[in-house]
Amino acid sequence: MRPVLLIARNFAREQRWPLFFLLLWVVGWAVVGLIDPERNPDDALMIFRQLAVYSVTFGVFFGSSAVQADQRSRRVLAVLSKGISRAQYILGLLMGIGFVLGIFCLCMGFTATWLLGRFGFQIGTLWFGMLALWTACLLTSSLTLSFSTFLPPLFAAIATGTLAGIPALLAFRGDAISKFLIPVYGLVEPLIAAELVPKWQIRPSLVLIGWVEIILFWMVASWIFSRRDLAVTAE
Amino acid sequence: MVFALEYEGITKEYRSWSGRRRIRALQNFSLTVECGQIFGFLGPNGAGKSTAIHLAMGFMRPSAGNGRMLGMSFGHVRTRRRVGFLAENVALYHRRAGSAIRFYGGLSGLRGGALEKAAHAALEAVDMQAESARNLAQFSRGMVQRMGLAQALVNDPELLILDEPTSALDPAARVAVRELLLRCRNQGKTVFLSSHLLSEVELVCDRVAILNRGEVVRTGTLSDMLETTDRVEIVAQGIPLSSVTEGIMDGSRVRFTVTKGGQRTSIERVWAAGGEIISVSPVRRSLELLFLELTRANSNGENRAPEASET
Repeated sequence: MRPVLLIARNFAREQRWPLFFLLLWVVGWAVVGLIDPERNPDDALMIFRQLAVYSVTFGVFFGSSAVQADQRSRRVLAVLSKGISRAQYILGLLMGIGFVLGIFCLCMGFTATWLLGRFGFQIGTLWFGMLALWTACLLTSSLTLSFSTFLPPLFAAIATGTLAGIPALLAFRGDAISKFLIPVYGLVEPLIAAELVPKWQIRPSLVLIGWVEIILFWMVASWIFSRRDLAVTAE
Repeated sequence: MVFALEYEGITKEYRSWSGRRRIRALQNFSLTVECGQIFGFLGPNGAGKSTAIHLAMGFMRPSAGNGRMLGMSFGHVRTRRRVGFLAENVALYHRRAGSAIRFYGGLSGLRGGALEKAAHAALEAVDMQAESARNLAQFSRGMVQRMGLAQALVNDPELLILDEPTSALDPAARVAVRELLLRCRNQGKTVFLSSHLLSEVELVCDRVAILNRGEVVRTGTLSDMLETTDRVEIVAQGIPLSSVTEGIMDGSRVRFTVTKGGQRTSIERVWAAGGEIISVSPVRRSLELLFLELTRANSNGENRAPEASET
């Protein structure tokens, strides 16, 4: 397990600058809260909704580029020459992505607690919402990672958008069951439809399904990646 | 007997996305590398050297055939903990040198005091301990290559697989790496060395394999390979230069070459002329010459040179 944690920590370290800029977004949101929030709390809520959508997009971004960046730079050779399997490597990357997006969701949660809590936003539900959001981010990441093992980053991102988007589209048109297929939309929907009046709810079953699918997609990614030749760039 | 590396009839084909275009990198490739020696792996660009190495490391799978590394199938995860690998044009994460080596040591399963000790020893082995606080992003190409060597050494491997380990190094660093490789051999480690620098291979390797167009065209010990079969050099003194054909004066001595068949007659002629034989030795050609002969012959579609002793 230690090599996996080392890869995860290394990934988070490598992504410290993207994470810094993501956190600037949250800081910007907090600044909105400092500038006379009483006048227009809906602005703060709108940014909260936007950030929820963006965080899932960041999940796609990190998932699509993680494996490819290591292969393109040839750094993957030194890592996989050690006594670690491809499945451990993918798990390390996924945990690294989880760590980066976890920090983002955590900061977002704290800011929302401070900024929206004073307008009656239900804090308990908010934090469960943050867990749901983190699950949605990791789910898109693991799905994108599995596509990125055999597709270039852009195509992996498009494939993820398509696969996660179809159930979302069906759910949007009223098909309740499709929410559970790849529940990215199901997990994020309550956050993007959140109101200051606490009337929104997130189904715990969706979070559970999300985690099962994260593990499933990690297994798929590992299976595909371990059967493929490492496509490192020529010297 | 457990070999450090065994390739058995391996063929590797690269296919395009559609599967229509195929490039055969290795063709029925067989090779064995005994433990405890420095094995030179030579070949022109595109001969399939890196493919063979990447197959052994489990980075890719053979299209046909199989192979073993330290007695286990290629790609076996735990076996890789006993192996050190340096890729050609090595790329490492941009961390501080000491931290980077500890990271790669950690991936090899080292931890705690053992990891610290191993990282220190690895940096010392490549003379980089003074740079341990500097970030790899600030390093020159040669320094990164030395760091690559350090990460390959950090787990005290039984087998070192090095793909062009000295290509970016200055002459002093090359000498240091050469000494390091010899030290590794003396410690009982096996070194599988792929290099274009034939003079270096000639200096350190016990055995050599020459690869061309995905096939082994010659393997054997260096002494077997460099010795020609048909000529000897005779050094004599006390005779005039005119008494031999195509001889040269070397101080007071006369140096000339003859075929092995004519060796006895030539020696008797020197004695008959009142001269003295100083030495008789087989003519050795350089590895470079042999390399060019073999790779050109094969590229021109001529008959391949006969294989030297294959173990």
